[in-house]
Amino acid sequence: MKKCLDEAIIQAYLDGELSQESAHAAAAHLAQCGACAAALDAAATDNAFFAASFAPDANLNVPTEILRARINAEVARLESAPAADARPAPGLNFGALAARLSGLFSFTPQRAAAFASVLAVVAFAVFFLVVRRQTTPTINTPSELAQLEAPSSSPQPVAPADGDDEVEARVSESRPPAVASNRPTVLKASATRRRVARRPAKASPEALTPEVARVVPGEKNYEEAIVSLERAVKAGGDAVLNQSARIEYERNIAVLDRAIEETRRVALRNPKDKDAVSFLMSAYQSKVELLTTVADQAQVAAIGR
Amino acid sequence: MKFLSAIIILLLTCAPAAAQGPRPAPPPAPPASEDFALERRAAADPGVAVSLCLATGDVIVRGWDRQEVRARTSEGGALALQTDGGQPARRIDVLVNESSEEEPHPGDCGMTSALELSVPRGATVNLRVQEGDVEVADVAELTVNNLSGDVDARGVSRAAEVVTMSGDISLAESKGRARLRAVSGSVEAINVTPNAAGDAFEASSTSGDVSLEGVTHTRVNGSTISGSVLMTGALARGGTYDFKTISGDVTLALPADSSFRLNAKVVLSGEIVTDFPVRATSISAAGEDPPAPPTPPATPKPGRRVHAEEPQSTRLVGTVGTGDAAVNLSSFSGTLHLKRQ
Repeated sequence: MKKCLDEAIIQAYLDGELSQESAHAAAAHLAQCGACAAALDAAATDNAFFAASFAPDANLNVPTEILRARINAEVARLESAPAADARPAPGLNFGALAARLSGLFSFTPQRAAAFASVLAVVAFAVFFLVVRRQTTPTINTPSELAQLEAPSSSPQPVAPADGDDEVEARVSESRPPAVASNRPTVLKASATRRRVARRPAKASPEALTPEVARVVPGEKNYEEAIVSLERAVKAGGDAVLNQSARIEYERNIAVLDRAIEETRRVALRNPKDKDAVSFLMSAYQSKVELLTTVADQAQVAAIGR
Repeated sequence: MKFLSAIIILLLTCAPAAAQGPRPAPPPAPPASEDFALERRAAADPGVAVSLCLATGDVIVRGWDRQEVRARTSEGGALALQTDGGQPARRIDVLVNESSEEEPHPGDCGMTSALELSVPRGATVNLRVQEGDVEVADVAELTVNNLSGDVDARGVSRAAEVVTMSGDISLAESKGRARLRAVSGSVEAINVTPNAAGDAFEASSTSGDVSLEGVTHTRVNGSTISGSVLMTGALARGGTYDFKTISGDVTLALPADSSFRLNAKVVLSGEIVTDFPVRATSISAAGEDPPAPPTPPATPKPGRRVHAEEPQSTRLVGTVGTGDAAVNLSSFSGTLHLKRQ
């Protein structure tokens, strides 16, 4: 089993701080190691998150720009004011929002249970990470990294074709005209992501450099919009959604995050694959639409308070 | 003995019925006037715009042949119809408050257990509901934004735009353009037809299913993230059909004599299954533009499985019949299925 890259090396790789030789070795390793590729994705996502948090919202082009600007301004105003002095400003309906935020720190039984759940999840995550670190050998220095062997150029064995049931996808010979038949025609894209990941051509170092790590330029705008909208939703507090709606909201956010992750992984491996990029953008767009729906509702709830 | 046999026969007769459980209740009869605690009326233009915002409560809207708007609630509180001052009114805001001691204010979202609105059939109805089911029939235009609850609409004659976050959407026996978007609920459309050539139909859901039957628009768009998409019925000549899902399946159940141009693609995994004999102009692998059409056109043999050379995406471009409609199907990791009815 090959050693996983140290987190510091992954971050240095992402920041472009490795030497050319080390960067190539890291890229080769990342092309083969799913865990390290996932760690790279996570680090890139973190970077994007922080970059997006400080990016000016004026550059965004999403349907709720005005809404988000208003809510962000109000949240910033709220955060800048000391909690003890949080009085409603004249003309602003912010007293209720402040009270609601401060209410997060009062422990009702439900909140206590929620905090306990969060603590349990965090504890489990820490435990998982510790165990994982103990069981996976780690590369800690660039010299160790340089000793990594080059990626194998031979693809993984592919299951033998089904004989009569399989033909090449690229049709180059003429075939008889179509005949109506009760037997359906089945075209199958049967490869798993794992098999694709092991193809060196799909994971060139260029495809993993920080600049290309963002699949398309529009992705950054989506990420910024999502961060901003999520902030607006959080600012709305618990009253925006009832319990069942919140459960559905969180479930669907998870569905969308999974879709983004999956499509992004494929698009990242082959940024020229317009279909994969298109699906990634669709997933982002759906998440923005969902957040916009809830953020709009947060605005309505804020008006009502 | 005869008595015992009669009892056994009676039990055997009743057992299947009991095993089936309770039968679905018949649709409730329209509530009688005395069931409502409050009622307000206002003379209205035939094309009046009626708006309502409810924090909690079910809403029933019915079009009628009178030139007036009537609002009724089943419980006390405050109810008002705020008009634009015109006689008859061209715009009416329905205002509700759960407290009878406080007048509802414009922009407020009130609470009630149930609200019934009767509006002219040519009315435009705009509903915003945070929690509650919505039922609408026989209006011209409908806009609903429902956070938590189902929306059931029928008889919309010009346009319908419905968004729900946690609830199902159903649109039936309606005309005109339609845009239905659910997050966790399903979207169902039955017998929806266009008014004009430019009317488009769009249905989407994040994790719910999209089901279309008898939608005859020439521009139909359906998409999901993880739900499935099903369309049943004939394709419109010259129509364009775009169906897209990330991890769900797309199924088109079409008449045997359907004629269309097909552009189907699966990016990561999954299959393209067709009962129709597609005259393929290209079958290509991932990350590549479709190759130039071979001459003469190739046709995958029915019943055979085709693997992409590059193990990622599969695309099938071809024609069925004379290609009178355009069908574009795409899935990231689901199955695309063209079924013959």
